[in-house]
Amino acid sequence: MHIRLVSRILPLILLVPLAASCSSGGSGAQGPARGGTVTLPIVEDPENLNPYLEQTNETNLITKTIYQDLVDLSPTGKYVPVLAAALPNVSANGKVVTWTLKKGIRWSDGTPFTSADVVYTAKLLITGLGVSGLGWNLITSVTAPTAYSVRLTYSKFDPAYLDQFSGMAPDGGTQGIFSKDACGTSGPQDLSDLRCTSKPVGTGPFILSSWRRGEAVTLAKNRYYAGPGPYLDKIIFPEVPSAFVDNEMLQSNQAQALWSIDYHSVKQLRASGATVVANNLWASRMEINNTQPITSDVRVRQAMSLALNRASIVKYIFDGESTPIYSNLFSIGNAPTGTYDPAAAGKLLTQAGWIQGAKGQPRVKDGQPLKLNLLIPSQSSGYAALGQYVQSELAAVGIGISITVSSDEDTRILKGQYNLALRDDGFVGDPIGYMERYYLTDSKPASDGTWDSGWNVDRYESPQFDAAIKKAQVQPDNAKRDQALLAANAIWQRDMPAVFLATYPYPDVYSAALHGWQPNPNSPMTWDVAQWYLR
Amino acid sequence: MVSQVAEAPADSSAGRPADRRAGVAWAVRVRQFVMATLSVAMTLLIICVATFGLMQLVPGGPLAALGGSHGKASHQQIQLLTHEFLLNKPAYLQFWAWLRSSLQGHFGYSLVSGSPVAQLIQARILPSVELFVAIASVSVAIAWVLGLWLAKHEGGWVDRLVLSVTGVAQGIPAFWIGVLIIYVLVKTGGPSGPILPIAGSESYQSSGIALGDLFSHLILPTFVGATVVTSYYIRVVRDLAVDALQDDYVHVARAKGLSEMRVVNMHVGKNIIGPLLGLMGADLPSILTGLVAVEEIFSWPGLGQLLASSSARQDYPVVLAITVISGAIAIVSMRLSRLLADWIGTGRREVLSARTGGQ
Amino acid sequence: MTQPSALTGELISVGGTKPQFAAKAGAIWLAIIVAAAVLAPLSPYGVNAISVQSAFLPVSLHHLLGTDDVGRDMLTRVLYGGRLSLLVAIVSALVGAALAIAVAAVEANKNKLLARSAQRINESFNAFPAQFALIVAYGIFAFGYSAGAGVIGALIMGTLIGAFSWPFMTPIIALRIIDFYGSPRMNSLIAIGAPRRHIFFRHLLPMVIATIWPLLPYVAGDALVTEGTLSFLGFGFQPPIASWGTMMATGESYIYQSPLLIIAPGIALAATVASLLAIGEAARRANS
Repeated sequence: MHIRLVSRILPLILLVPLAASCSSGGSGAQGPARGGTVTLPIVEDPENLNPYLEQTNETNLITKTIYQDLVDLSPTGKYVPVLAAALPNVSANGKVVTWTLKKGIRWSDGTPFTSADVVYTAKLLITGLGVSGLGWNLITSVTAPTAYSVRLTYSKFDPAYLDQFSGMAPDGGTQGIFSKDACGTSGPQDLSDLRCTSKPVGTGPFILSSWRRGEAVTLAKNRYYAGPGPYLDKIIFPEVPSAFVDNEMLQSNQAQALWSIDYHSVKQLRASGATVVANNLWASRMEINNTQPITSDVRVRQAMSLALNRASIVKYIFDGESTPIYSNLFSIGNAPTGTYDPAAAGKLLTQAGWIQGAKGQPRVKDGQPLKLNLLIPSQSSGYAALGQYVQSELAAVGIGISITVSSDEDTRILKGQYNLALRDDGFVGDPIGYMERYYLTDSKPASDGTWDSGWNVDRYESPQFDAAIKKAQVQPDNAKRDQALLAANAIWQRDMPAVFLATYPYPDVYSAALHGWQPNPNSPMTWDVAQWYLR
Repeated sequence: MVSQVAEAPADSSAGRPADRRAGVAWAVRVRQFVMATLSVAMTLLIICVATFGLMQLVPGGPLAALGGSHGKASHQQIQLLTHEFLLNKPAYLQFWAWLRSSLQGHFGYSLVSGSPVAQLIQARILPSVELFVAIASVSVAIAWVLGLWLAKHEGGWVDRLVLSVTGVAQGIPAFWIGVLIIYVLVKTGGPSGPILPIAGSESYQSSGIALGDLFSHLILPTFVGATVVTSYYIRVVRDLAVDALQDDYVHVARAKGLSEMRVVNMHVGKNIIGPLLGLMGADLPSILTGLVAVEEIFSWPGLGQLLASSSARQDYPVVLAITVISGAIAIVSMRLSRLLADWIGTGRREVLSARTGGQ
Repeated sequence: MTQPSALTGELISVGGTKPQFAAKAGAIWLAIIVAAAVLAPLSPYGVNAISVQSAFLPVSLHHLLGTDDVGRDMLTRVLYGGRLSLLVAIVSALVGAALAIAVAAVEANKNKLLARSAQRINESFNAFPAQFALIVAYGIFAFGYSAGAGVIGALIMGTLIGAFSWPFMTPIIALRIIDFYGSPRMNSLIAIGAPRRHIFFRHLLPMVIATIWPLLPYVAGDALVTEGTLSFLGFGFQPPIASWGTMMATGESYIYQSPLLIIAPGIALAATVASLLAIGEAARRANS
């Protein structure tokens, strides 16, 4: 359900509180203590530990401790070299990118890390996975001029040349550099046949020590890790299906960190001394099927937006852990806002021909009642509450809402079998790729019920919006592109193809005993696990 | 009515005490054994058909997940599966293909991970067995001791208190007690943590098997899983014992001048063990499925948890296999428990006989 | 549902104290909860009337059980939840009874092949891991469960639970039918030339019903626990719908804000199941 896009700019606005909360790192006078075990419960057992086969957030959480990439996205959105010695050289025409690698890095089996491994991994993505996003299809050749340099040739300049190797993009970037020797040289035809799928070999701070299915994945210190760190001896990811038990484990020091918890427990966990960091990158919104008879009227969609009080949603539904949002551009500097005005909503509906009859009854037009169905995902108490809040607020302006709880919401919205649907989605960095894939006319999903052909589940169609996005796409200057995006967004907000509500908080938790961590909204919380220590 | 149950609709499967006493000929025993095996096989076949049929009702068929958002199977894997399990053929052919390969221990592949189902299930059997054995032994032991004691002190205030408590406890859902116990233990445990581990089956600290560690992890799930069963069995044992204390042999034993303790423990108690063990076997299906909730709450890595997570991910081959295997375990255990009860030789096998479908 | 399905009690002969008190208390509780569930619409609060500003209010005269996460009156929710949960229980008892009688009729048949086939079916369903099947059924009926504000869902779920609840009753009924056919009463009825329809409706059916009804409280009790467990695990009703199971599931998420959210529906459920079991036990003793 959660799809992330990676790009260049980072929402600086979010980083101020984050930077402030990083205080725990290095605060001790005597430096990091060595030893100890950190337990970080996960909800579901990963199916395998090959990050290219299994791209759930939980697998990433684990594989991030085993594998490394050429660069990482830092909490402030900068690219920092990891396996690369520095950021790469780009030729004047932008078509040739040359990476220089760090020397002296070893795989967890003791063999040296060289450019052959990077070439192997790049080919894995290009031919094995057939990834076309992020410009992989622009690459015409990958070579290794020396043991510590890699040269990529593109058919034209690819602005995502760093993202490709940043490890932050399940949508098409490397998820860790694989060892050519450990994975097998037979060619990456079938990923599950790679030797390193069952026996991961990485350059990261930890190595797989044992994995009992359905029980726990245990990782131990990688003695070949280049350092500094890791300070912990072990990190354990036990499978704990109940979110409630997760919380109880943290409070009783049976777990030292929790990932992506339910925001209901934030206050309780803070009271127990833990630090809770809410990465507000996920936008909860109400998708509207713009092709349905009632909702194809822009006045109805506008009225729904006017009738929903974002401030109340943040305060009462999301426990104050979230921020109100009104459009896709919620994470840029001067994010567009909207208004809450139920009276205006009522007027709009009346203008649209929907006449209020008896109090508490849905409005009526030509004998037809103003009734819509709202789809909400199952297994989430947050959405149950949000759904009912939306229902009651819309009822107040005369829109009757029936709620359907669905375990296959994605399929239904992709196939267009819905009126309204609550969901959330997030992205890291530049929102343009996100706006393209969600709202361009030719991004409408095919009827196969997959996300492959586009994410425009609202079936939004606006040549004007399409044109405005095209303008932003060719704008290389970041500030100017923001302006272009705002112009496109103004068209979007006028048409209101979906109603954005509030960021959806997925907080990470660090127990009071855990130190050295630094939250990174761009990455799974284990991105800096080498620096973690217990005291 | 009780004695009538034993004569229930005729079927000649398991050996009757009367036959044993008569010293039946070998041929008859073989025939009985064959008949019993056949009837078990028949029952198993019905379970397989029913489960497979259920899977056919899943929207899009058992392979719906292959194309869905959960599916990770490659095109080649789909082709392979389609070929191996005749997925493009009519349902009865699919059933036949699945049955044939299942009988060889090959239950197909997980739609989510692509690993063999048998391998996934194998890893989960031991934890489930541990938990089941713990629950079964704890509840039988407590029920036996307490039930006998109550029967001896029938009508006393302890008797009435226990009857009331167990009467209410029988109705409590296991997951509910589980959640509240964890909540209370953590709350009262303070910063040093609860006195017992609340999740998983071990601490993963040592590489070998640490029995003490396993036991400490077993305590809470066992307690929660056993509450309802134990409450119920205490009442059963008490009723059986109260009844048995009226029997002639007890009067004879008393008349012989045996102490009351000896009478109750040796004579009555011994006679109750059979039916109690039998009951446990007969209740196995419901206890087994009841473990889903206990395993979910306590993160116990057993079959129930695998079933729940596979169902949520629409991984139907795994669900199909677990259901059929559990059914098989249940049916065999029910039959065995009846034999066991017979062998222990109490006169109360009618209890079981009615439980297990009346043969 | 670690419930051993009750039945064994039926066959163990009765001794000792009569559970009259428990049965009376159970009957009173059951009467109260059924009446309250039926009269739930009289509550001054709507079951879905949310008011986020008054979430997690403590117990007070206005809200006898406080309010939940979106400010709904908990007592009203518990009563409405009882409606669905009890509906599931009633439907499953009726479906279970009907199936038990139908299979028993075949088991009592003189045709050995038919009778044995019925026994095999009986044994298979007895061994069938019912809750597993119900979890699978969620994949099939997920949409049905939330249809019709849960009422249609309750009918579906009740039918499904009932479909797995009958096997323990069948042999008992089959025996009664066989007994009846061989009884002097039957012989005299035939002797006086009573019409078959008369025998069936006036003699056989009442006897079967008298046999089965003391068992139904056990089925209903089991169904209540099953509904609770399924919904709690996410394979039954889903949160906006009020059933005791969904309320406990929601209550678990908000246990730090107000433990009453999980305690109240749990107690309602446990008390109702205990009442049903007590009534069943008394009825069984009265019958034997």
